[in-house]
Amino acid sequence: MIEFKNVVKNYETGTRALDGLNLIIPDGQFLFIVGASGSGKSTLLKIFTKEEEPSSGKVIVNGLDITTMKKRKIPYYRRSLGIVFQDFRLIEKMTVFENVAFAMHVIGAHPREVSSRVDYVLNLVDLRDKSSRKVRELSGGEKQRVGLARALVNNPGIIIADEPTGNIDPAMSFDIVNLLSSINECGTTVIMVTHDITLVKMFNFRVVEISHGRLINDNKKVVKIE
Amino acid sequence: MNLQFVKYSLKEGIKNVWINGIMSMASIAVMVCCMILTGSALLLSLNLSSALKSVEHQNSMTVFLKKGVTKDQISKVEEKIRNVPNILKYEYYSSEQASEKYREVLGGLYEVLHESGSPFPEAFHISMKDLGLYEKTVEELKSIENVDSVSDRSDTAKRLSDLNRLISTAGMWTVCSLGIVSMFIIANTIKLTIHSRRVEIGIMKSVGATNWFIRAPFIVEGIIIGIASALISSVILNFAYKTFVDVLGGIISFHGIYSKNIFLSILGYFLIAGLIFGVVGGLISIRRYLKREGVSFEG
Repeated sequence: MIEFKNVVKNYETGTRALDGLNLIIPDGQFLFIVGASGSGKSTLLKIFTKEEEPSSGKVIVNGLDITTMKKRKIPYYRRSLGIVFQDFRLIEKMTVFENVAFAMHVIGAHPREVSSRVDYVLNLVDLRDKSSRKVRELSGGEKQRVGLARALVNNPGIIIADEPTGNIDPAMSFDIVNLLSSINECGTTVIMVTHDITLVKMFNFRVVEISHGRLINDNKKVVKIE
Repeated sequence: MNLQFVKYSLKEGIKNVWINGIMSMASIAVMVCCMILTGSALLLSLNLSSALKSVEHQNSMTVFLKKGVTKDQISKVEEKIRNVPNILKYEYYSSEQASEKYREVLGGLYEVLHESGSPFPEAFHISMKDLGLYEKTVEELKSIENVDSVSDRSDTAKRLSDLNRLISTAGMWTVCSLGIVSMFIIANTIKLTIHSRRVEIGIMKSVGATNWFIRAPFIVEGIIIGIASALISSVILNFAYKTFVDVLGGIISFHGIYSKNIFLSILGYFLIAGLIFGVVGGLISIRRYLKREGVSFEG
């Protein structure tokens, strides 16, 4: 379970990005976070991935308060997350296979394990036949599927997708969310930030809306019973 | 640290040098220049030490008489030299003998110089019994009537010693300043590699690579640059110095010290220096980058 407790984030510029945000995300849930630009969605994710520290409040992930986590522990915490970026963040000169394998190599995985695992996730995202293609030869939707495969390859418990459909066409966007939905069905928690309300409405998942750093709407509010 | 980590770091480090080929070559070239300058200062200092020792071990000197001394006066000087207690043996060396000796060397100039008689003074070559009494003996010889000067090697020794000290001090400063220059050259080269690989670094951070995993390839890159510079500069210095000793030895009576051991030692020092500068240069740049970028994934 992920719990945001009264999280405040003030930037040095004086902007208050999060203003006492409270949110509970149970294990295995699919959650859409929606809101206008500058509402605080990305800050929320950055705090969750430890790119930013909150000014006050707590973020508890599976019983662990990540706001007090030591810097040297951050890489190990991040291994439990799979992050999908809006701009794909792929290495253009590498092949599809190499891009996905890279995520395993850099955490010291054994080459034999890398090969079988990468094949498996490429199969999941339906890109096995394109594994030897350079990513620059792929379409936007395919690139995002590579990004998704890379996020999945280290078998994370939580997938965080920051506007994953922002750079692809609507049909492909639907495919990507469908893919995320399949992953979620296997028990992985999925948190997806988007401003594409049409897409959100196509799925029957929990939707929270953030505005001015506060949670203003939650269609399936979860209340923690102490 | 596991084998995968070592293999990955080595492979990526080599790749970094290759990707940034021109900058890597430029930094190797600058480091080679720095190392050659340092090595030259070291060799000069070694040669001066050797010359100093050879001067210190010579127990002979030359007593020059005043111009125009008569044969009678020369005999009197000889008499007094014989009575100086520390004299082992002496030999009269006439102005004509000196002229003959330099006839070949001077060539046409010899005739010009001889138009108004021999330019060389009458002299005695002297050997001493005890080098410890060098200065006292010099004083005694100088006090003899009609003695113009004594080729006082203690002066030469002092000058050589001063020069050696100066070169050692200058050499030390050269090593320090060029060392810092080398380190920053490596750091800047690696900074460019980091810039070209910032997307990869961002991805590495996002999937949970440790800082050491991110740093290692850049440190390997620094080590490769440092070691390559050490090897190249040692080879160039060895070849250049050997040629210099051979050529100069054929022109003047210069006996430069040369042995393979000296160059093995220089290679050893250069390798250690290259290794240290490489590691520190690599660490400076990647540390600065990771500190600035913090835990953000942005490249």
